[in-house]
Amino acid sequence: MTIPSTASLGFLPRSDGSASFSQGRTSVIASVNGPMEVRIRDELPQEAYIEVIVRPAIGVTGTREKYLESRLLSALKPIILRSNHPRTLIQIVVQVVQSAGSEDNAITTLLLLAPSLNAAVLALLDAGVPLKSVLSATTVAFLKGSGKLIVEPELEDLKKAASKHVLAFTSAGLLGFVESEGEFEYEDFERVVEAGRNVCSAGREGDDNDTKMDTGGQGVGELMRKVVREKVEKDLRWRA
Amino acid sequence: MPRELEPSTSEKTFVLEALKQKLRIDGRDFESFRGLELSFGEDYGLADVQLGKTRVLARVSAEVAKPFSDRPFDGIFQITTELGPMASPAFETGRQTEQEVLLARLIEKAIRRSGAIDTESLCIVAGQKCWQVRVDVHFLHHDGGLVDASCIAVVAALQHFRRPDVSVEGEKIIIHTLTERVPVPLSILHVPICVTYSFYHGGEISLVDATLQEEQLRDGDMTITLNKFGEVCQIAKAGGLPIGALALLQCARVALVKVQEITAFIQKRLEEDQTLRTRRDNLLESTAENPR
Repeated sequence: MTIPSTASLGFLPRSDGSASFSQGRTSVIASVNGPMEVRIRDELPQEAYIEVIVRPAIGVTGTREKYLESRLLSALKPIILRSNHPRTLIQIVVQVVQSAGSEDNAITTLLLLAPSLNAAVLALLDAGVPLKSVLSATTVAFLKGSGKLIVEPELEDLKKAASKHVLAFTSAGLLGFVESEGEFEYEDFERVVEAGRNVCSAGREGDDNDTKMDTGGQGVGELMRKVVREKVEKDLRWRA
Repeated sequence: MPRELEPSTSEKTFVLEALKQKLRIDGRDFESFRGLELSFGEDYGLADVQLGKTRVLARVSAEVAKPFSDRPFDGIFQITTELGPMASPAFETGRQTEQEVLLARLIEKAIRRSGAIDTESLCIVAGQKCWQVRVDVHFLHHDGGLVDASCIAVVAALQHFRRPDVSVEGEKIIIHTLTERVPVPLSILHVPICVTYSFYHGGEISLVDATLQEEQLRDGDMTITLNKFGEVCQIAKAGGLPIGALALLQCARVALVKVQEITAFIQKRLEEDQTLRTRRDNLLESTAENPR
């Protein structure tokens, strides 16, 4: 039984942008503030300083959170048009609400990465921070024996997997971020990328949903597009 | 890091003048709370409290640890509160402000030191193994009343939490997973609830559950913690305007009514969640499918 992914936008009125994203049993909230005043030691003369803070559901910030912060920063930094806001700070806070398993290990950490990235991108969109493109991320597990791919795997699937991949694609279908763990061949990796691209693609405006039905529900890209569209429609209803 | 915006002079005069005429900006009367919302997560021990716009998340977790050497028969119970930039951009990570320290101490005093949890029941093997129960409080949105909201979140999460069952056979300790044996709730002795009063105009006016704007304009504040039996767990008044003894008694009397309402509300939500879970779990178990 798979739990469908859900997302929502703009529910924290104090922050400039906020979003929540849940995938399987993992659920995170992200908020974005900025562009705003920056500490002098972080100030960059030609571009905005990007800060990512990850807060764990249980316990205090440790190496796991620092790892997630650095991964998110490397994924988000290139897509933000930083030179539009020199000498400012754009602060992204990701709060983990629920993670997939009770134990802390590499697998549960990896499962946090895709939802955090999706929530952060949605929050950036909600905050109106200028972006070059929109990323949507997913997790793919590769099983060695059967060569089977599992997109958006559960914790149990990942434990059996030979390699695990977190991939993020831009809305144009370009690969924007990869984090892989385990052993795999180059051909397998190509299949993994293809499977990830299918799920992450946003679909075209006015695309019929019937064609997507047989793949089983909604992809991440479509879900993100849907929530943003709903938010925009709601915000601009006064113009109708 | 931007500082918290202070209310302008005209805002200040408006709010204070309105209070003189027995009016609050959001139209509440002086002794009423904002709308309270409480929901529980998929996991045991995750409570999401919304008090007006203020939103607080409390998360309870338990693990096996070694008890403190001076208290071999007691389990460990901790509450951590950390104000992050998600609640308000004025809060920085990694640096504790005075407000944060006061908040953490108040919650600690209200819940842990008032003996809300029976720590002796957390002991597994005296001096060797015990449960370490920790509550992490996450502030998502700050619009005043952080103490009241986080206190409600913590006690609700503690009541919702279930820890894995344990059996001891001689030297061996077996921790049963949540699916193996029905998990056990924590033994909670009483449910303390905080009510914060804000004072204006030399103590003539006292407000319950101030918003952020009202908090910024107040002359003094006081937090009373009570349980539904009317036992006072603590009174905290860190500076500010001096308050007469009679006014304090009056505050405590009003607070008791509020505490009883809130406790009943939490209880109602817990029961709703419980019936939902039983129904769902029973449906899950009653499949006719055989393993193939």
